Amino acid sequence: MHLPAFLIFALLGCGLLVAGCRKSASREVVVYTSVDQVYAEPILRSFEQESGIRTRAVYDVEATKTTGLATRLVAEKKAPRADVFWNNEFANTLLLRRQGMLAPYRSPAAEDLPGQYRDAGNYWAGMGGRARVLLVNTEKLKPADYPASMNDLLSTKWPGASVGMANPLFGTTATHAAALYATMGREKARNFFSKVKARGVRTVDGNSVVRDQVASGQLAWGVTDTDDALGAVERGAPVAIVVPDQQLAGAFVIPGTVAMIAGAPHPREAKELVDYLLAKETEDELIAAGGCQFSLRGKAAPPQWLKKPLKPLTVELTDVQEQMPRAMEELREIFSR
Amino acid sequence: MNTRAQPVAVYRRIGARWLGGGGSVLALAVLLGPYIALGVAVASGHYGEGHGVRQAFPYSGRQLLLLAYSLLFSGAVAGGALLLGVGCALKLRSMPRLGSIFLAALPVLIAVPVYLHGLAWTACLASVAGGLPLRGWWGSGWVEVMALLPLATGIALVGLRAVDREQVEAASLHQSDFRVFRRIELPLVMPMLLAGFGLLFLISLLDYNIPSLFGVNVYAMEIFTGYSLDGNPTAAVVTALPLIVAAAAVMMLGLARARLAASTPLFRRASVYRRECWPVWLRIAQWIALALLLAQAVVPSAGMLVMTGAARAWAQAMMSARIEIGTTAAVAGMVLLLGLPLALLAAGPLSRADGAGKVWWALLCLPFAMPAPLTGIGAIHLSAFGSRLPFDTGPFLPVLVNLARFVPVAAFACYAWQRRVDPGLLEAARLYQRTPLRGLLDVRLPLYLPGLLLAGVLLLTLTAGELGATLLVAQPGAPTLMIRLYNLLHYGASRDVAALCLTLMAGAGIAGALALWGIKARPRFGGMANEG
Repeated sequence: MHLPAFLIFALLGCGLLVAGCRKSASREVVVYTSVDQVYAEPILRSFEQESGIRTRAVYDVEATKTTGLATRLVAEKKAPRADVFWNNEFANTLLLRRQGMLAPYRSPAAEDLPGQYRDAGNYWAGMGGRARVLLVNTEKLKPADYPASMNDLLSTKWPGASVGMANPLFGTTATHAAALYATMGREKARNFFSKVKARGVRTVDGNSVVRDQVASGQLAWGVTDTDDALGAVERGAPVAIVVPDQQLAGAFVIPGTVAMIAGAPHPREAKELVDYLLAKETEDELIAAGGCQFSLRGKAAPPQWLKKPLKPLTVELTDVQEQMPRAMEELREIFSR
Repeated sequence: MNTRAQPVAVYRRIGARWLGGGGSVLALAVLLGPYIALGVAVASGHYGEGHGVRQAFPYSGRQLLLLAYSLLFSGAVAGGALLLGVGCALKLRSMPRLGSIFLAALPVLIAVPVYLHGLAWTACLASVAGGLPLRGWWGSGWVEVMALLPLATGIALVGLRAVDREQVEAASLHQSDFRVFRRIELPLVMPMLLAGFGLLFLISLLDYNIPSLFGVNVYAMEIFTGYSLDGNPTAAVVTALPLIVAAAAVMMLGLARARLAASTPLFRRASVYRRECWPVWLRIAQWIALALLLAQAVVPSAGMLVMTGAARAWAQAMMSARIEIGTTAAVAGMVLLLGLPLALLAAGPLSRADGAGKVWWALLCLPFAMPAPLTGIGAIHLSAFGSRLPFDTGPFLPVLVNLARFVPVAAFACYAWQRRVDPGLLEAARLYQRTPLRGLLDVRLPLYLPGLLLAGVLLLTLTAGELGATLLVAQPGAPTLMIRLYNLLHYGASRDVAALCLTLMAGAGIAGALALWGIKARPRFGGMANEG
């Protein structure tokens, strides 16, 4: 009695699915991006309108802890589906470069980028940067008591439980930790993090959780990224941003990166999208939207919320990437207990 | 006797057996396909020669200690949730109408991702006068117990309802209700509770989001620290192995016991419950458990309603997520359509008492115990085999990973229901059916319908809430609702997150209501007594 109805539904479903499975003949480009959807989507829509190329995006999610898109790209190595990898940091891009996952492309739009933000072999180029900053709850601390340095994570001036950072085994906090390994040296960096752990500084789920807990007063201050920090400021939370170590080594700036995938199914369209993303105008658009805060082009003016130009931590991105395995191994021993 | 008809019937029976066996193998191929493909990729050197194994093995003392803590923690969470669940179930059993409403609303209660329960409870307790901070193991344990409480209550309630009331009533003529419960009812329902414990234990053991939210390290997180560094799943699989073994063992023990669970055939089920006379302490404990269940129902939903604000905000959030809602609905619909026949096929061999039946139980437990991202990676490797096909296999992958992950759940639900069907009816159908197909369509499917509807609701709810595997295989340009939800969570758009959660809950509520309607309406075409 119900067989015909069931068969009709099954055939309809399969028909719809197969219709969706047709290999597209129109011009399109597939981009994998870890830039938040709310920032990336308008830029990709603008590209679609200007170029007439249909853009299909896959977005990443911080909560999965697996750096999903890089993992996916590695798994898809034999049959790539992505054309462009637009990453909001650099560590995974450099990892993919090392694993032979990227294709070289010298984009004319990247010509005005400083050398440290371009791969020597043209496998990737930088696009906008975020800095690691200290976010302070202004109801919990007076300006005189604001922290000013990453070293303040070790200061007894603030109880350990009132200070927070994201788990240093994941995301930009992991990259920041590797940068400290590269600049401080292995011994000093390991001691630094051992003391952070011993002091009871709270390690939470992610930079957005640091932001939320500082904003709600559960933490007096914490280390986070500029995009998260500015989000709290824009929503009117009682917070202030402190750029750390401006009298010392400088604040760590994490450049976003754009790369073309080796064996990309749509190479021509991929190049057009790479050119579009690396253009100065697109970087400005992303900064204006809040997806990143710093232009990687040297002559750019500092953002309005920053009163004077930021002093960046001087470190080679390749050094940071090389330090990652050792830093993670040791940090796992320290923090994952 | 018709001498010609006899061989035909034999051939049909053999054909049906082969068909059933082939179908079960097909179900197994779908369930295990991604893991086999992952194994082949690793063995063929896709991720380098043995590097991942050397990286992850042997396990360090720290890792083993972390594993021990995680096992203890998950055991405590599962035990706590189940204990409270039994308390709630005893109370709800004495209020049959409320119990039925609860079971119908269960999909709504489990539709909200556990991570959001954590955020809701943190915000709720932080806003209490003075602020009650939720931190560390206790905070994580509290949120997990509360998040699992509705499911634990559902399992306990279903188990208690399956106990033969006639035995209980007969015993209660001579003993107090509490003693009858302890000596008769509890042993009868214990296999079901053990199965429930296994399921809750597994959910807790594989979850790293909630512990991570409260700054607690668990072994499940250990799997991903190395994985996020180089994207090599070999090390992740090797690291996950103790967890998979522990989880599969608990599932095997728990679910295998479920075969012995009390299961009163529906035709013998009492429809009226006598109100038991419990000791005072147990009555108080039941009310406390029920109050906690109510709090768990109210805190996340009320929090989300408050955060969403006006209906216009909800409509706006729905509008901006229409692609994601459409994709989720399409994937969940396909999983439902393909998953139910597969679940029915996979449920068949579960009733076998021989060695093959035990192997089948073990194979169905395996996907339960696998970390979700490995399912996604396996599906990618599986799709690489189909890259020469004239059509894009990509859109199948989100359906495949959800089938692989959740068909076993649906199969166990079908199996649990099938045990309650009057075997006399099935035997009569087998003797008098014109063909096995007619017997299936006219008798078995209507009899199995409530189990299938329950399995369907589970498939829909679990698929809509899946993230770990779907993220890795989501179609370009077609993200699911959960991907958007977590993306917005990172951005800090709590109003949109709340609105989308309400959408998920509404979807689960509609699915639950339709299933309930289907069960109630069944006598119209099933020709059976309504057992509610």
